[in-house]
Amino acid sequence: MNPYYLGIDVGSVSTDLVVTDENDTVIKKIYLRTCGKPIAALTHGLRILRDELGDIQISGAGTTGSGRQLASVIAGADIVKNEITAHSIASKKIIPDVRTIMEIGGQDSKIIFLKNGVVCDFAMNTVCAAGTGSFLDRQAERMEIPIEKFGEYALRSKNPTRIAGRCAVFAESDMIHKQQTGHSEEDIIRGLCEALVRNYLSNLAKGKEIVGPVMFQGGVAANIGIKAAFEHELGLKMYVPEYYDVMGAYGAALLAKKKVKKTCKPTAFYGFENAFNEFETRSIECDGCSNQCEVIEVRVNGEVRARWGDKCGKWSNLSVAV
Amino acid sequence: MKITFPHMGDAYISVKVLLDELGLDYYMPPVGSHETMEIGIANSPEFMCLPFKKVLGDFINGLNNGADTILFGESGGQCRMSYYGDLMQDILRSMGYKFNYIHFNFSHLTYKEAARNLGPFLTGKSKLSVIKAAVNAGWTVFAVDKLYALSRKIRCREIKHGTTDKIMREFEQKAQTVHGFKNIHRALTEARKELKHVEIDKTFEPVKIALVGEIFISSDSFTNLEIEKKLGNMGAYVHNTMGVSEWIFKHFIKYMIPFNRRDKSIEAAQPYMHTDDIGGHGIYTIGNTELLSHGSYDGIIQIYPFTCMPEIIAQTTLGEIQRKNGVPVMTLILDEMTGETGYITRLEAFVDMLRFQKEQKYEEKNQKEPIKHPKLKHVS
Repeated sequence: MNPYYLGIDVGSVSTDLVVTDENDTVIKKIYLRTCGKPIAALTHGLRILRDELGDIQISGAGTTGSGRQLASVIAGADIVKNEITAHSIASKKIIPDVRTIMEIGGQDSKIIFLKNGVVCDFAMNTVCAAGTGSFLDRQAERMEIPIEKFGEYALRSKNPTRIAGRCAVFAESDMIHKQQTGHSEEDIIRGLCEALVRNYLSNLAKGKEIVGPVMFQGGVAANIGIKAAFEHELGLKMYVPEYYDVMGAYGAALLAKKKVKKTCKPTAFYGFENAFNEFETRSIECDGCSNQCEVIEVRVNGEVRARWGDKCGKWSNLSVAV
Repeated sequence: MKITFPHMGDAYISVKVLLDELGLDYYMPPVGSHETMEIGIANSPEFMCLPFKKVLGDFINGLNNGADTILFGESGGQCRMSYYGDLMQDILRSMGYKFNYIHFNFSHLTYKEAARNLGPFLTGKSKLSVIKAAVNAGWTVFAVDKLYALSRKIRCREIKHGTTDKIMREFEQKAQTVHGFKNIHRALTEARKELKHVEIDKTFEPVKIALVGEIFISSDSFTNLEIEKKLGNMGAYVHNTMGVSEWIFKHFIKYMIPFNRRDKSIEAAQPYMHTDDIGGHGIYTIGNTELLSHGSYDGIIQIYPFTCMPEIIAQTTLGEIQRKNGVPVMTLILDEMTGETGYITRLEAFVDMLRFQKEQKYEEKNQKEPIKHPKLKHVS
């Protein structure tokens, strides 16, 4: 039986799963909306994988994304890694000499710089989510344009409108104002794309040199309007990889393979059947000291599988017993 | 008369020693309490920095618990135009509290002023007992900082995960409950002994990170979300350039020495900022980043509270230092809205990055050696 590897990326907007084979080729990718229910999205994804791939042998599993800890408890993972590392590993696999990786997801955006194949600098958006996928989603919804068509609209514009892109709230009111003064939809959308690109570059890449090859990934990379605006602003070609929307999960699968090969241990993955269990989470406020930690508890079929969130280890150590 | 004082990292241990030894009545607000911080946030201007809000919360908690005298020291400078301590007093008075406010501004404190402020506390106490209390408190400051420095060295190399955290947690619990110099001294000695017996992996080479930035956030593990612990448990050695002992040294001891040499870190900051003071500890952030990015550390983290003006100024130079010296610098900005998940992601990614860089450097070295001395190898 051939060994396969599973990568899981539980993000704020999407939950992605990728299965790779021994040659690091993507066999199957799944992109689901998290919809605020990470466990439901993850188990749904695992069930789809089982239905479509049959009972294949998963030799290693890795998780990443903001829900990586939860995902590792639910699915069982050999490695739990942050998104920066996962994305850089995945991108390097596709373009070995990649120098800059731009990733724009649902709630966060990041820029990663590499030198000689090693990450040498990175930045993530800090206090503001303007210019990320959720904001574009919202604007598309408001203008009643399907998000998939957003980029096409932008490319049709000859004379982009200038939109204030510093802050999502102000950008929206500026857009409404421009609509009311009679600018065309196309011009406004292109203006918005350009504003977001300006905001991204001044927020994350300030004072940093962007050298090619540049890779552009994350859900927003599907938007040809944003891609064009980046290329125009930077004067560099942006490479959008085939699996641009699941690069984090792909990276997690690669990391899992590396980890399993190194340790030679059987995988911690609970198997696809596990996805049919009943999962339940609850939070407890510990009153043991003035820290008042919020402890999260995950139960599988009524039994405690894990607890975390406490500073002192009083609760998280209990989970070992299960 | 009942005194209360605000928290800043582990400073409470030595303040307790001082007040216990002087035999004064006091109330200490709880260490690391979300509840007191919430009160501070609710009563502060929104764009004030987190340290201000936290300190104000401690004051309110103290006054609500029977204290009538506030003891507060600030290093002043240009931080919030030197209006920091006064604004706090104004807010508390407007809330209707009546109290005695003893406010030291250490950047222009005279002995006369200190004596006048402290006079009422010291009536009936011999000069010798006062000096003894001050010396013991001073000793505690440095001993506590040394203990934490030791814990940082041990944590990243420990074999059984969590041992160091357990020892330090027990020490902190003791330090908060016991009284008097003798008992604190004993707790310190015990913790040091235990730390020295922790089994460590001596061959492990951790990535080395220096912490620079605003002093309150850097030294206060509650507000910086335990950055030292988090990095240590990821296998990184952390050197904190900011600590209470550093602060005492700069603002007390250096003032007593008549012959004053210019600070090394201020000197090092000159090529980037042609001045001795940009407010707060901003100039030290620049200087320390420059001094520590010449090979002694693998990476530098600047940490400061949201809206901190001096650190914003300092941050603008860090990109230049990073380009020049090639050592990565990451900036973390904290406030009460900071999500811990995103914070951990950044720390983890930073440590990963430094480790990969270090591994690559070693690989290059190993590859170069056989080419360098091929003949030697052949002979042997």
